[in-house]
Amino acid sequence: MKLLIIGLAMLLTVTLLCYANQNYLKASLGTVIHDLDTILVDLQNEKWESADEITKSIIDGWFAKKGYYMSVVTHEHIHSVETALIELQCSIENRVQEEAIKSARVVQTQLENLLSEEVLSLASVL
Amino acid sequence: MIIVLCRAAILFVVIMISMRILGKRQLGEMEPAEFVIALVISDLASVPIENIGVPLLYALFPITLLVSLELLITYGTLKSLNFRILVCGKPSIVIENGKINQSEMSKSRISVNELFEQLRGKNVSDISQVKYAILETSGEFNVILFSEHSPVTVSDLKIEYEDKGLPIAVIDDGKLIKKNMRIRNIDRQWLDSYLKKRKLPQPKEIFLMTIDDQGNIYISEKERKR
Repeated sequence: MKLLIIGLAMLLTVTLLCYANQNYLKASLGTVIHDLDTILVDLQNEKWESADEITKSIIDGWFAKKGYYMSVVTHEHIHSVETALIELQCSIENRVQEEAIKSARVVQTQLENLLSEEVLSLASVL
Repeated sequence: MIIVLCRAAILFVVIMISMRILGKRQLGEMEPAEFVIALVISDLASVPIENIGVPLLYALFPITLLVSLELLITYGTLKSLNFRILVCGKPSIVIENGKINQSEMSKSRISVNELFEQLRGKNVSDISQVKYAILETSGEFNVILFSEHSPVTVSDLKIEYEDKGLPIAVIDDGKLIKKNMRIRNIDRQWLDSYLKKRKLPQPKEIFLMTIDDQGNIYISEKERKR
């Protein structure tokens, strides 16, 4: 009976932690992806101030949660997203519309790929 | 570099805990499922040590999952014979009443040479002396001889024999083992006087001292450094 209890407790703990991690990642990265949509609209309308503000808040949020991301996502992904975010910020600061839109889309795609790898689905399991 | 060391230390602790939870079996005694889990755990642990870009949780979570599954499988095998057969298989009787069971041998994929090798390992040279030769699910080969060929035991000889019991160490590499001293009802004073009487050195100069149930004492002094 002891084996059953320990085994089930360990199994449940790991499963719940993974499930909670997946949901948290989905929620936090989902917000960033949504914010990037807003940035893209702002960039198309040349609302530079608003785009800059949202980008800064995304970067601040990203670095505040970096420790968590580093513990659950491969560091290669983290570094790519960071580089793309900095590129986006630079393009917005320099007011280069085409470059900024391209950078925003790159960040969005990277985050979507990251999510699709971490969120449970038949495709990601296989 | 320090990160690699920290990660290796963390994973070492985790694997040690996992192995303690899984039990005390040696490699050769493992059931197929245990062997597979040991292999996968070692592989999982090596990845985050080699590559610091991979989060430690990528190893810790799957290792915990595998250990928990192994515990559940062990529970299942203890509770259900059918489940045990499904997971561990059945022992194969390759020799029965001195006759080789060829179908079992081919099922277990044992050649005649291997059979002889295993029998020689058990000090058996004549198959006709073997009542049963069993290939256990752990891969161990056990031989039961016909009673006329079995080694003589004390009960066969019908002689009186006093069991000496288990010798336990009271001094190990110069250190007193107080728990074992209490079991044998001896104290430091008795020990010192015994050693003095036998003109033996102080306990710190003794490598091993054991006492069995009958009070028989074995002493081995430490070798002098050259």
